[in-house]
Amino acid sequence: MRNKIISILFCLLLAAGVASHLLTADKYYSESEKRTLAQFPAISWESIRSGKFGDDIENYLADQFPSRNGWVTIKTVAERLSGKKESGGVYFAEDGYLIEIHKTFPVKQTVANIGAVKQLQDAIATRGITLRLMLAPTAGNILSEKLPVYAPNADQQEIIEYAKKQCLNVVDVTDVLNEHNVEYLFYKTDHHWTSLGAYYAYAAWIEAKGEVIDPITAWTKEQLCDNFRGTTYAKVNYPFAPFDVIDAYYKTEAHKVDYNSGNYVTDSIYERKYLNGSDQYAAFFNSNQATTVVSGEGAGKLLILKDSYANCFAQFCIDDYEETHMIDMRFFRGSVQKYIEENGVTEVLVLYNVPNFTSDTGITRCAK
Amino acid sequence: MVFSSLTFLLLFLPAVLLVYFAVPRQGKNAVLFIFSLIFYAWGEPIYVVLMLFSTVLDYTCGRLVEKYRGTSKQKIGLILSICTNLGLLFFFKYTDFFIGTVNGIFGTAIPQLNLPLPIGISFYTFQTMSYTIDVYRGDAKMQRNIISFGAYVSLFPQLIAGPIVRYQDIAEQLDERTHSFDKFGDGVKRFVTGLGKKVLLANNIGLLWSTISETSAAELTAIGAWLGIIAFGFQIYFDFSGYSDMAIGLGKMFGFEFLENFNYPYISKSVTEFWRRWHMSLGTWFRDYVYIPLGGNRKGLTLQIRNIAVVWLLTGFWHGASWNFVLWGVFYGLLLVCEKLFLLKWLKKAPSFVGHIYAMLTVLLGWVLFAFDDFGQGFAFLKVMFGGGAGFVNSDAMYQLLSYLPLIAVCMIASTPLMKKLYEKMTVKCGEGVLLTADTVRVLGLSALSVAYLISGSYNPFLYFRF
Repeated sequence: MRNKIISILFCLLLAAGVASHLLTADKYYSESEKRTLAQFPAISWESIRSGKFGDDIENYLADQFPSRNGWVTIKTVAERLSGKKESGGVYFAEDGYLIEIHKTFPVKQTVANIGAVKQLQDAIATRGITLRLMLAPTAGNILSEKLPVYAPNADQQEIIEYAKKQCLNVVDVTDVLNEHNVEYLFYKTDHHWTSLGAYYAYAAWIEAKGEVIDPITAWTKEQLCDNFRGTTYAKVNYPFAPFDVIDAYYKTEAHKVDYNSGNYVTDSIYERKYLNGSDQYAAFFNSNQATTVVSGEGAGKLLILKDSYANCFAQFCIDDYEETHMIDMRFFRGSVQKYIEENGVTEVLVLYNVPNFTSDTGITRCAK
Repeated sequence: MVFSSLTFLLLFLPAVLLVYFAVPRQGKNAVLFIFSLIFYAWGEPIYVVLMLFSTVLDYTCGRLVEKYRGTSKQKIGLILSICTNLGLLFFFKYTDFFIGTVNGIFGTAIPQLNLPLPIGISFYTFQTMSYTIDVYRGDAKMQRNIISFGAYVSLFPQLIAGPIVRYQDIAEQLDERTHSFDKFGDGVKRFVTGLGKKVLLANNIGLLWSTISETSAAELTAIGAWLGIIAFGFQIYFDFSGYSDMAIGLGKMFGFEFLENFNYPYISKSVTEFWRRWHMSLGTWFRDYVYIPLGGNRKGLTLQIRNIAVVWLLTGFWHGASWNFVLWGVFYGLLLVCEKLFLLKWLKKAPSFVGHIYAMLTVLLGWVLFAFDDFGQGFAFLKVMFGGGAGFVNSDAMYQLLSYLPLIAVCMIASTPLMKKLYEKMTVKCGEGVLLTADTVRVLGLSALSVAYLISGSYNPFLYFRF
């Protein structure tokens, strides 16, 4: 009798698995994982013969499994219970912090990227334009005390020191971030720094330029949301993870913003429509765009070559310039030098977080 | 296809169960045969031809043996079968190895074939050979139905990772087997347990081994190396015995009773005992078809030692076409001879923990030989284990130790019959309700967790591609 129930239970489980797969519609994109999902593969003799079809089917089943996030949660909780201090490339650090794991950095790409930035720095120096490089250390370094004991963690400062040795004009923000590391500098569930973290980096940059730093109270602080769970959360779907608060800082909110040369023009750097979705950090400068131009009341034209760390950083500098340009090398296909010339750029800042800088293959193109 | 995949669990298994139980008894072997071919073809469709060839050939050889029984030609079928099967195995698995070795010794440049190894070829050639030998010896009757014979050769539950089912053990079940909820339920429990062993224990502890084996010997510490080889030992045990559990469980669902393949090898107190508990179907195969035909232990000590040597050279070689597997086999052959000559007597007198520590140390050293194809790497790893690396311990090793200690403890408990005994005690003492709850929790819990790990795209290697 007992085995009869178990037999039926098992058959029902199999049937439920099949049925739920058949009945739920396939999705194209996973918002929480920020990637396109595998679709039912095309059948061809060649793909069957090579075994590719089999692999594709397996990926399709895994990606389209009903309530995929819930299953990831089960795995994460099981790993936590089994004493693991990491899951899916994320450390479970103190105070609920979920911190990206970086055990090593790709040396070849780092060297290539540094070389490219140096080339650009030298090329525009002849025209009297100063380039500064800011490599932002991430939570793994600034909050290393919160990491699990003995956790392997690559030293990001080595990359920054290497850049300095290559005669790059480096703005080192490690010390100022370390000084304030008891404050809310990094999101607990996302790999970005907070607006406050970005402010301290901005202050270090202003100081390096020998200019006067406004206290943070000079900006109006507005809470954009208090239910943010970002990229590191998405990797683990850990139900006991905290929620983060996203703050905006502005002197005046109205700024003309032009994305991708007139593709989309708006009057605020904050795209509040993202605040209702799961990718709230994208509210800063409309996620990642190839080019962005913000008008301000200041003088001079700043160009930031950047990753998404610059998106909340730029809140603080847009009022200092007549125009602030931002280029995301992952999407920009033109020549940076030509862009500088054509737009009359007077100052350049290269701003990346260290792990991104060491792995982004688009940066090498900036020398062109 | 492998069992620990969503393709198997969500597509193949429901389909084969549905069709198998829908057709009448006469059609069931045909269903198994066809589905087994699909199962096999999933990764490399070409090699299905090889399997069909093997099926037809051995079927014919069986008939030849029967036809010429008692005449001077009675050995034709037997010899043809053994030569073809060993020929296939040799051609696909060992040709490149020998070309490499010849090139290495004579400095020649004979090109290698670079053929992918047909999955499970070491298992099914051994099974088909056992058929002809069993028929020749009169241990089993000739199979008249080629579909039933095909079902035996290709039977998907044990096709790619064993157990190696001797024809004589399954001959009657092929033609006449019963299906019942009792058997099916037992099969479900066994299958789910195997799935959990593979996905939850082997894959996870395997991550530790893969991290450590990728660390260069110069950066590895003694603690790290020991931790690594212990992890490897658990990985291969839970992976392999998990596959066998899944095979035995699936067999039961389809009405078959396969023999056990593992019997808690890590509780052994000598190497002799270890090999009575580890991959038992391979040991039985070599005993029945090599060791005993060579004379076994009946022709004096010298010949017995020769026979042990032959069996262990072959056992090592069976595990992969590489010298490290040969060395691994020789290592065990030597230990077994020593135990036979004097060591077992000594161990019997010593307290039992001595035997246990001795057995586990030798098994772990054996795994080092097994794990590294490259002698240089293997010996560098051994050196690190005994203090020749980056010291005793470093923070990486501490992190790994702290992270994996609970899992290692679970693996240790799961390597002993403790849970099994507990369950047996429960069956005696508890009521049906409690037992049903326990079974339900076991089936639901293990399958849900396994599926969660499979979906989250964790590390899920197939270890037997060299066998």
